[in-house]
Amino acid sequence: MAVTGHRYYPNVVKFLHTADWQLGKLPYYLSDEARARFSAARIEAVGVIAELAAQEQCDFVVVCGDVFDSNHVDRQVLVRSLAKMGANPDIRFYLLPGNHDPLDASSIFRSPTFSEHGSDNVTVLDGNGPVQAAPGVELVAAPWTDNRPLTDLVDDACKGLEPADELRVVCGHGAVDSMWPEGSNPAQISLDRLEERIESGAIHYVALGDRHSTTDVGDTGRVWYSGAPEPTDFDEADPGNVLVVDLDSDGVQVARRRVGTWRYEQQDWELGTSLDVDALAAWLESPANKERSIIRASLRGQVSVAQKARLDQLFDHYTDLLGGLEIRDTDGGLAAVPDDADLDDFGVSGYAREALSDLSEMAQYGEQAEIAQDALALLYRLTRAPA
Amino acid sequence: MRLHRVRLCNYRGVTGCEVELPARGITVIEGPNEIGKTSIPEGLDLLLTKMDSSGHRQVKSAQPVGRDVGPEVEIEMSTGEYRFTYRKRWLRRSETVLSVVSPRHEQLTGRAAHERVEAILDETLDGDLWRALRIEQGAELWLPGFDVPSLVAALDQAASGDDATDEDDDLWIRICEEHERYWTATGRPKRDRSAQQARVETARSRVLELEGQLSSIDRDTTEVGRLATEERRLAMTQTQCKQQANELSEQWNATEQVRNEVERLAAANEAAALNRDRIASEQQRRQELIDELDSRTEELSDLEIRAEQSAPALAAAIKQVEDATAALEASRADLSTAEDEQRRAHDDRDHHRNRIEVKQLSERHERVVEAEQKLQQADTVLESVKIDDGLLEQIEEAHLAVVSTEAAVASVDTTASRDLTIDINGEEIVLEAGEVQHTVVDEDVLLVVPDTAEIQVRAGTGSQSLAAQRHQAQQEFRRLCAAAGVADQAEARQATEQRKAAERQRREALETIARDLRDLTVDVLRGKIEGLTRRINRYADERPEDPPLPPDFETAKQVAAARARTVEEKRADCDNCIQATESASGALHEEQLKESRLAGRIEESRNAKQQAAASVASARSQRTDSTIASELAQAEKNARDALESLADAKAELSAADPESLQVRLQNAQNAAQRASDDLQANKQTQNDLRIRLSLRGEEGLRTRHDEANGEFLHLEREHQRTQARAEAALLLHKTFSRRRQEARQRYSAPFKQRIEQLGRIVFNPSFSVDIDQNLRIARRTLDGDTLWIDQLSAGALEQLAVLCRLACASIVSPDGGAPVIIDDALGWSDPNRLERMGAAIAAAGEDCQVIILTCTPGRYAHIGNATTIRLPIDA
Repeated sequence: MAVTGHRYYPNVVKFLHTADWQLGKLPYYLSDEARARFSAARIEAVGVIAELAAQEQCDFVVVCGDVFDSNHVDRQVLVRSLAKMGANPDIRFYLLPGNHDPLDASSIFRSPTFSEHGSDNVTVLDGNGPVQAAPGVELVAAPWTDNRPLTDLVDDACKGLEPADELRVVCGHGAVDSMWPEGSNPAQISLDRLEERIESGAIHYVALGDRHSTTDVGDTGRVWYSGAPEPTDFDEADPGNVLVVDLDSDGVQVARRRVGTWRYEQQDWELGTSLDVDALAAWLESPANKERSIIRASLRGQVSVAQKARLDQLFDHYTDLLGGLEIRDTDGGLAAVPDDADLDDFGVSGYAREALSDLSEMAQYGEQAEIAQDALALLYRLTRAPA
Repeated sequence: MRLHRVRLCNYRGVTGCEVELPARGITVIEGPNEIGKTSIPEGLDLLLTKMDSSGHRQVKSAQPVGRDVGPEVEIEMSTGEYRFTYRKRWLRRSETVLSVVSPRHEQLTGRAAHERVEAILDETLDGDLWRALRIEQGAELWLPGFDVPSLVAALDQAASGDDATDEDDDLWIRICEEHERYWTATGRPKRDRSAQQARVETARSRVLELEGQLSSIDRDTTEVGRLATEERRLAMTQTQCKQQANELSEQWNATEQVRNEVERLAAANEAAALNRDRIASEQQRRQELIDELDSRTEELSDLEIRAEQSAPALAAAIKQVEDATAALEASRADLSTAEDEQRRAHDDRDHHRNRIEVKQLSERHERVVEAEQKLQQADTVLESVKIDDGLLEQIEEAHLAVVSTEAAVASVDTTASRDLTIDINGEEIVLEAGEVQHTVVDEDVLLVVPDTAEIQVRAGTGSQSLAAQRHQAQQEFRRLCAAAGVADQAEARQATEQRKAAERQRREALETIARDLRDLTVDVLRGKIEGLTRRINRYADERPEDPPLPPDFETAKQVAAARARTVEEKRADCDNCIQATESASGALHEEQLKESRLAGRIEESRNAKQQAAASVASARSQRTDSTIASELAQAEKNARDALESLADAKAELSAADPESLQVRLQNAQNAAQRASDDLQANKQTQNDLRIRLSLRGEEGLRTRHDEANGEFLHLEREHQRTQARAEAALLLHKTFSRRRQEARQRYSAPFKQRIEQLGRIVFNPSFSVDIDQNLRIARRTLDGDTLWIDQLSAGALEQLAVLCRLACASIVSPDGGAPVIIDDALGWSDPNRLERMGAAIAAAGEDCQVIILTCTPGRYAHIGNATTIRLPIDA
């Protein structure tokens, strides 16, 4: 992607813009095994980003906030991620504290382990004045110093900046007011003021973090959310990217590069027929990299006991196959009520048939409907279990 | 299942036996004991259950004793769609041979044959039914429940018309197993579910604990941020306070200068005032000297005047003392004379009193001496006279006894008409004229009057006794008189009177001695008399004659009293003179003291006047009075000037308000110090918190929390799923259990009906039974009497046992069922019942295969349609 913009100064810089690594994140809905792989993938992404930066001949990498999922992640996460960055000494990493890892008294960036194992190519943007990231390139950082700022930190960091010879890259983290206009958060980043400063030539690129989907903010083409390199939740539109930014005094080129290996997907399903169940089965089968896919299916409707039994089999199967599978009810949930064909399908007679009818009736409504549905599913399974 | 043929060979005592059985109806196999009837069902069991290689006890017991051959059993049977011949031999040349003839031919041997038959039977035969339909010989009467699949299926079919399947029973078992996975027999959750719940709670606690630790870190972090903000504020406050303190300090310094000036002026003022006061004081002292001199001069003059005025009073006092002293001397001389006369009078009075006392004492002494003599005399009498009133009385009584005895004895009184001498019993007695001689005649008495007559008086016969009494009385009388020291009664009376007089005299003498001696002895009394006598005599010798001794004691006493009164009067005069002398001496002493003090004061005053005059002269020689007055005027002016300057300076100091300024300065300094302290504490707290955070931050608490939370949610979901499955299993089990129970109640109707149908043949039309849920006969009703099954007689119980098996077999027979095998039952039944049982067995046997083994041929003779097979004796 090439974006034309204002051309100011003859300086040139190429850097990699990323954010929201959230190293150490452990989704509760995953199994132990999947959580371990999920966490490891995020650390692996650091190495991939370093290699990409080297490959793209980037001068440096800016990580715009939420490098760590918390200031209190396991030491293993910290030392492994530092090792990944240290393994590429030619690439300088500038790490911006965000709301997940604010530069407060318990900041991980001030921890003894970070001090001991952080390599020379890693710099924490602590906001104490502009940082010379490359010749003629200045980083203006707006780190979070606590997790409840009461002002626009980016605007605070840019105050007093006048047009200069250097290229200025602003590193910030948080929500831009234009994207959440109804928000009342005083810490929201003012896009207007950023664009004014861009217009005035005081700053030249704004590298943002916090939004996990890659997003071009505003009209200047110089304000970007890089998105998270690995997805973290179902509601992210375009995660798994980093941005390679080619900035000079004439303009900026921003190119997204995909690095993510995990995938979140969710879909609402209304089930009523065997075709619906078939479609759901096909959807569950669709992810190419199943062990790194986290799927959420929200179900509603009414199925027969046989269909419910098939669904249960499907869910059991894909729970084992996928990285994560979450089945939830929506809009009243999914009811499993036997139809006439079901009743015949049970293959029972005599008193068993009468009991089956009782359960079917209970499954229609009432306080015990859900239990009765479960009982029918159990009965269905028992009638089919091998002797 | 139907048995068509059974063959035993070398089976226990049976060398060879083969029985053909009809597929339907009743077969009675008769034979005497130990011919092998019971071996038939036993051999069937061995064949169907024990492999040919088995060395089971049952197999070994089937081997004939003493023969080296193996027991062998062969049957031909049909079950389901299968018909086959099956043979086994054990222990010797073991073999198993199966020949299936339908539905398709199969020929198998060994284990394959055994397993094939097992499979066929599993497929086609209800094992429970097979066991339930048999009554074995000698076995305890047993009334089984017929809750067996075949009967249940048949009853279900009869009840509902549906085909009840084995799958339904399998399903029920699976439902029960599923239920038992989650619930105990008493309906409580199983232990593993409780353990799962506990694991969830433990995981939840772990999450909460970690959340607490993270919250603690968040609080510390927030606190550090707050402290950092506070630190900046405190630093600003500290700066402001210091600046304010400096400004106030400068003001304070300026005020201090004013204060110093005030102090200096105050000192100058004080010095001026002191100087003024010093000169004023000097002037005052000078005036005091002058005044002192004037005062002393005037005082001396006054004293000298008073000295002149007091001289006549002193002379008068001296004269008064001299007069009083002379009067006192005269009074004392008079008193001395009066006292001498009084002493003489007293001595005279005492002299007379001594004389009286000597006289009295001498009289007492004489009375005492006389009384002692009388006492001695009385004691002498008392010692010589032994008789007393008691002894006197005894003597008088003895005398009376003598007189009495003498009166009883004859006596002779001889009265002399002249003086004569007579002889009585040879004793010569002289009598004067008129004298009477009394002679007692206690024995013969010879009275001779010389020359006149001899008179013989003869004593009577009682005289001797009387004479003895008289003699005894006389002896007693004489003994008493001798004891009293008297001759006779009269003398005794006289002696008694003499003793009484002596005693009276003695008492009087003792009283006199006691009265006159009082507390003295005779010697003391005598000594006092002698002493007083010597004093009297000496006073008489020594006393001058003049004045003359008063004639008696009373006169002497009156003289002494008069002399005493004179002395009192003289002493009173003397006391008055002493008082007057003392008063005059006191007045003189007072005047002399006044005189002395006045002289001393005059001397002192004179000295003081001289000293004051010297002081005034000395002071004036140093500074004149006028010099002092001019210096005082100048000093007073200087003091006023200094006071005015001091007031001005104080006004300036007061305007500066140093107290408020000092308070403000102190407050500003304190505030600066407090801000400094707070700042220090703030930094220390921040430092502590940062150290703690640094340490806690390394623990990876968020990761541990997320892991724990994941585990908790996983466990909770798993627990919820388990709970849901448990609830589902419970509901499923309850629903099926209820429906199954209802079905059972419906099933039992045809079974009950069939039993009652057969039972009415045996008992009577009133016969009915109650069937429990396990399809077992619970109660029997006959002729309106209902009895529990265990209340029935052995015979009735045995009959019901046969009937319920027949009923069951006849119901399940259309679907195959199994043969009813009765090994010699009905031994408890009477002939009437046997007949009726025969009819009932015959009725049931139309629908099923009944095999009866008996050694009592007549017992089953009433089964009309039975086929009888008699086992040969040599079988």
